[in-house]
Parts: sequence; structure tokens; C-alpha cells
Amino acid sequence: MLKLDNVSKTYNNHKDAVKALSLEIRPGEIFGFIGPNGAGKTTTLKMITGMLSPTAGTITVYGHDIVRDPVAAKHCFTFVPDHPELYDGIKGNDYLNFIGDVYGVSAEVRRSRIDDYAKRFQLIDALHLSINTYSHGMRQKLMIIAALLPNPQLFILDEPHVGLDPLSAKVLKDLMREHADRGGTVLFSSHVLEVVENLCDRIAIIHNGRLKACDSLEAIKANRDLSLEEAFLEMTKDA
Amino acid sequence: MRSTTALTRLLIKDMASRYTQQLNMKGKGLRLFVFILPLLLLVPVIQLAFQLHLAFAQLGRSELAITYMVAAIAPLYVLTAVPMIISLFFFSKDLGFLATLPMTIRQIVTAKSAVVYAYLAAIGCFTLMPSLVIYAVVEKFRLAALVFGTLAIGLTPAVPMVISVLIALPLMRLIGRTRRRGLWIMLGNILLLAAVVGIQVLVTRLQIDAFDPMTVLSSQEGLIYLIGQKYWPSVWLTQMLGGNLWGSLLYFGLSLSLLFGLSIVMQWLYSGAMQAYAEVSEAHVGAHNVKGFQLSQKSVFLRLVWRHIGIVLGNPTFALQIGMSMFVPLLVGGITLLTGEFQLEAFKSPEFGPFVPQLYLGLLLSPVFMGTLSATVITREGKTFWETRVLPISTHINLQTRIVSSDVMCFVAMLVLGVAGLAIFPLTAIQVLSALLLAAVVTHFFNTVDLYINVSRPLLNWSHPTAAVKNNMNIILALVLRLVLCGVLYNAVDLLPISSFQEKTWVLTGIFAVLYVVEEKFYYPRLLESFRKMEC
Repeated sequence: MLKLDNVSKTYNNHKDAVKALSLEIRPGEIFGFIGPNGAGKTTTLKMITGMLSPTAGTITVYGHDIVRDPVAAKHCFTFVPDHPELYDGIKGNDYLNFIGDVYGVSAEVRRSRIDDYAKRFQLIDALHLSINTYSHGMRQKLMIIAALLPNPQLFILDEPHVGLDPLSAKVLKDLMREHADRGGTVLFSSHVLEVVENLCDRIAIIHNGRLKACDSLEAIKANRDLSLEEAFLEMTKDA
Repeated sequence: MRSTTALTRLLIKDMASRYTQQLNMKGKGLRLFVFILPLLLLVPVIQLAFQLHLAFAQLGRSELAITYMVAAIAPLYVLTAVPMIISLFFFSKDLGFLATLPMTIRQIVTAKSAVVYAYLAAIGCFTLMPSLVIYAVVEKFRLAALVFGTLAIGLTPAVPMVISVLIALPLMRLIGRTRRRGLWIMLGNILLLAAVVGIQVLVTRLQIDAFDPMTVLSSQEGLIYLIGQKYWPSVWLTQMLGGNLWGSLLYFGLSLSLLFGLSIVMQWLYSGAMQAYAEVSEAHVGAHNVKGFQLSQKSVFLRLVWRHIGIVLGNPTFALQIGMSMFVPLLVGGITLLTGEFQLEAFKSPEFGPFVPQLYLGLLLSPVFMGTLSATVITREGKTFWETRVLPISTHINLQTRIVSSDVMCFVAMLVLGVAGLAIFPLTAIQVLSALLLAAVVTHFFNTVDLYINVSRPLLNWSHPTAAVKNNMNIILALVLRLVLCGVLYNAVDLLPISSFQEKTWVLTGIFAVLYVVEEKFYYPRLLESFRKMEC
């Protein structure tokens, strides 16, 4: 379970990127995080994953505080960033092996999971190649495979569908659903409302660093009698 | 431990693999060259080691060759380690990725430090092992010296690395919160180079001033202390080779305790510096507004030239490399003058007189020789190369702006050096004019040739700016071409029945002008064609 309690982030003592954000994401659900550009989605994900420290508030991942007990918290999740920046000099399988070592995945499990995911993403033939020969989509797929390799309790993705071909996007959606069905939690940010609408159990809308709504899709739409797109546009409209 | 080892292995693998990739060697024979290149570089090192060995063997103290080499290599370690620490710890693109992994800061810092240490130790092996092997094998076989010497050489990076960390991390902690940190890093590196060279020169002067041959030669340890004064651990290392227990304890004790201390301090320094760095990176998003923008209309040619120059000046790594290499004569000259190593009056002496025009010409040519702008316009723009390819501009304009941007940077450096040279050298107007003309023609010619090299062997997929300028075979090719062509032409002109350097300068200007015309007439169409076929 992921819990954000009154989390804020201020840069240089004056620029509020996130303001008093409170959220709770339960096991077994797919949670979508949406908002316009610069709303604070990536900053929030960076705070959840320990890349940035919150200015105020607490973040706990399956009971572990990300600031006080970062290693235990990080053992509970994996993260796929929006920019698939990887070590260019190494091969795809070197990277997967590294992740396997860090998360303590046994060689046997490693082999079977890599084989399964790489085949589904059609990346199996490229794993022996140097990453600098990969396209943006291939890097994205490699990072997704690496993130799924330890079978994390919480699977976090930032704009995961950008750069993926339709087949890979479908594979990713299936994997996210399978992960949630096995009791894992999926948290992802996206601009593609269609994907959010089709995939998420619950969503949060964030604007100017503030939480505008956090509920099931049906509840958000029903409260205003609007489509998700209309509800989103209304909530993120600047006065 | 498992995570630390895995990360260290990955980083070293990544670094080693990028070394071969950056050399951009595609053919099988050329790939072999990648491995032969370090061996070729080893030849002069072995030669130097032999010469030093012979020189000190004449005094009956052949082990001092090692003292000398260790003392000489220490500043090189610092100069290598500081930019590497800044690059690996702060400008590396894995910072965000590593922050999300279940690894402690201590583990990350240990893995990254191990990479820096391994790199320095490799430099140490490369430069110091020949001296050790010669000492332990040539005169008589000394097994203990070979074993302990190898261990000691493995520890040589310890002290310089501690110094480097104590420079780099507080610097980043201090400037990490500033917006123009790229500029500060560049200035910091220049100051570091000046400080390291300056300290070396000053210590040498102090040694010379305090040199008393009787004191030095009367004591058994006098000579070693004289050589080791520049870098004290080199004295203990040498004493250790001679079986001195106290020296061994001091050397190992110092190295190991410094490494232990480093592992504690580094974690604290890194976390503070890293936080300052990461927060500024995030906070800068959207910090500007349109009011401050320059939106006036300029010609396409000027815009493109400015774009290319901006690629170099806007990036601290590139700006540092270009700035440092172009102004090396000024920097070295300034330091030697300030420390009193060299006097300006020397140039006015009759012994120097005939060489003054040559020296002035060399000064003017140094930007195009040392700057090696070959990689500026294509390699340095890397993945953004596509930008100009999709613009509605002709290939000719695209290429010309790249050459002109290199010319502009060289000419600016040439102007600065030229003015500085006028203040130093006693020259006539015609000498200045002829040197300027030759330097301008040579600069434009080589900048054009450099573009041929880069179009033929583009290197666009680099992961970090340092990767674009380090181990770049295009730069090496450009340098070799400059040295060979200038050497051959200068010697050919020397054979002509003209004695004055002035006349030789005019002849060389003519030759380079003809070469440029020939290149434009016959090769430029090919360059256009190759450029059109370039894939991004």
C-alpha cells in the first residue's frame, strides 16, 4: 500500500510544485495519475520513488517511510521513468542482470521471467545488443521488463505509453492488469485519457500541485454528469 | 555488498564498452587498432622509464626513478579525478535511476568511487609499472620489490583521490544551488589546472632555491627527499621498495586510512551536494518568461553559426575543452611568468631573436592545433543533429556555417593570443601581418578538412558530453593530419633556396591557399554528397 500524507514540495523556498497532497493507493488496484503539463505529476512520482525529498509530509510504501527507511521502501517498488535513460555502453541482458542482482532475483526466476516478458514485447533478439543501438521504444520496453523482473509489490510508471507501438502498448496494459490481479499495485501517470479510462480502477486528477479529485472513474463522471475528458478539462481550467 | 559489486561491474563494463564505441572503429582492422593504441602509447612511457633508470643508476640510486615517476604522476591523478568525479557523480544520467533502486547512498558512492579508483589505478599501472619492472628486473631480480611495488602502485591513487574528492564535492555542494553552475565548473577546472601547475612550478623553484649540493649528497636520504618533496608519499613508497619497514607502514597506513576516511566523508559530502544539484535541476523548469527573450530577426547564416557556437559554449564540458586547449599557451605562459620560472626579457635577447617570428606564428596556430575543433559541429551536436537536416536550408549553407563557426572560435582565440604575443615579442608589422595571414589560411583549411573527417565518420550517439570529446578518433585523426601535413610542408619549404623565415611564411601561405582551392574544386562536391547521405 502507498500512502501520501500532506506531501508538499517547494523549490527555492518559493515555487510550490506540490501542495499538501494526500493519497492512499490500495493493493490490487491500478491507479491513474493525471493532470496537465507541469501539474506536479512527475514531481510527485519522484518523491514517491525517492528521487526528490518532500519539503513536508510523509510517504510510506507498504509501511516503510521513503525518507527514513529508503532501502526497505524501494525494495517494495520498481519505477519506469518517462525518459528511458540507460547505460549506453552495456547490452540489454547486462542491464537486466544488474536489476536481478540488486533486487535479489534468483538466476532461475530471472531466466524464466526475462524469457516471458522479452518474448511478449518482441525484444528477445535485441537483448544481446548494445543499448546504444536501441530505439526509444526498445529502451522503454527494456525498462518495463527490468521493472517487472523482481515482481514488485508496487509497479510505478511515468507516462509509460509514450513511444510504444500499438502491440507493445497492449502488452503493457495486459501486464499491468495481470500484476494487479495477482495482488500487486500499479501506479502510473498519463496524458492519454482513453488509456486511463479503460485501465484504471481509481484515478487522481492533479492541477497546480493540488489534488482536484481522487475517486473511481464512475464516481468522478457521475458527480458531474460529464465524460472523463470534460471532467478533466473542467477541473484543470485556470480561473 | 551484492548490489555494490553489481553496480561497480555495470559501471566499469559501461565505461569500457563506451571506450571502444567512442573511437568509432567500424572495420575489423580498425577494431584491432583500439587494442593496439594503448600499447603504442606505452612505448614512450617505457622509453622514459629506461632513461630515468639509467640516469639514477649512474648515481647508484636506480629506485629513485620510481620516486620521480610517482611524484610526477600525482598531479595527473588529481587533474583526471576531479572532472571524472564531477561527471560520474553529478552529470551522469543514471542519477535518477539509481535513486529509485533499493541501494543506500553509501553503496552507490562506494560503487562510483570504485570506478574512479579503478580508472586511476589503470593510469598508475600504465605509467608506473614500466619503472617498477625495470627496477626489479634489469639490474638484478628483486622479487620482494616487484610484489610490494605492485601493491604500492595499486594504492597510489589513494592520496590524490582524497584530494580530488575534497575539491570536487564541496565545490558541487557550493555551486550546486546556482543556476550558472556549468560556468562555475568550467572556471573551477581552469583554476584547478592553474593551481596544480602553479604549485608544481613553485615547489620546483623552492627546491632549486634551497638546493645545497653538499647537504643533498652528504646524506644517504638527501636525494630522495629532494625528489620526493613535490609529493611526500613517493618517498615512503620508495623506502618500502628498499625494505624499510617504517616507510612501508607510513605508506600503507596513510593510503588505507585515507581510503577509509574517504568512504565516510564522501557519503556525507555527496548526499548534500547531490540534493543541491537535483533540486536546482527541477526548479529551473519553467523559470523563464518571454519578456527576457531576444526575438529580433537575423539572417539564417548568422543564426546557424550562432547555433553551432552555442553548442560548444553552452555546454561546460565542451566549453572547458575548447577554452582550455585554445588558451593553453596563455595559461602556461602566465603561470611560468607569475612564478618567475621564465622572464619576458629573455625574448629580447640575441639568442631568441631569430626564433621570435616562429614563436609568434606557433602561438597564432595553437588554437587550430590544440583546439581540435574537428568534432565541434557534428559530433558535439550528437542526437540534435537532425535539427538542421529538417530545416529549409541548402546543404552548402549547412556545411559552410559549420566551417565558419569553427573559424570564428579559432579567430577569436587567435586574436587574443596575437595581442598577448605583441606585448611579449619584439615584432615588425610585416612579420605580424604575414604570420596572421598564414595562420588564417591554415585555420580555414584545417577546419574544412575536419568537416570531411566528421562527415565521413560521424559520432552522434554519445551518452554524455565527455564521451563526445574523449577517445574520439576523429580528433586524433585531425591532429595527426595537422602534424604530418605541416611537418612535411615546412621541411619541404626549408629545402628551397630561401633563407628568411618571412619568405618561407609567404610560400607556405601560397601552398595552403592552393591546397584549399584544390580541395574546394575536387573534394567539396563529394563532401556535399556525403553530407546529404548522412543518417541521423
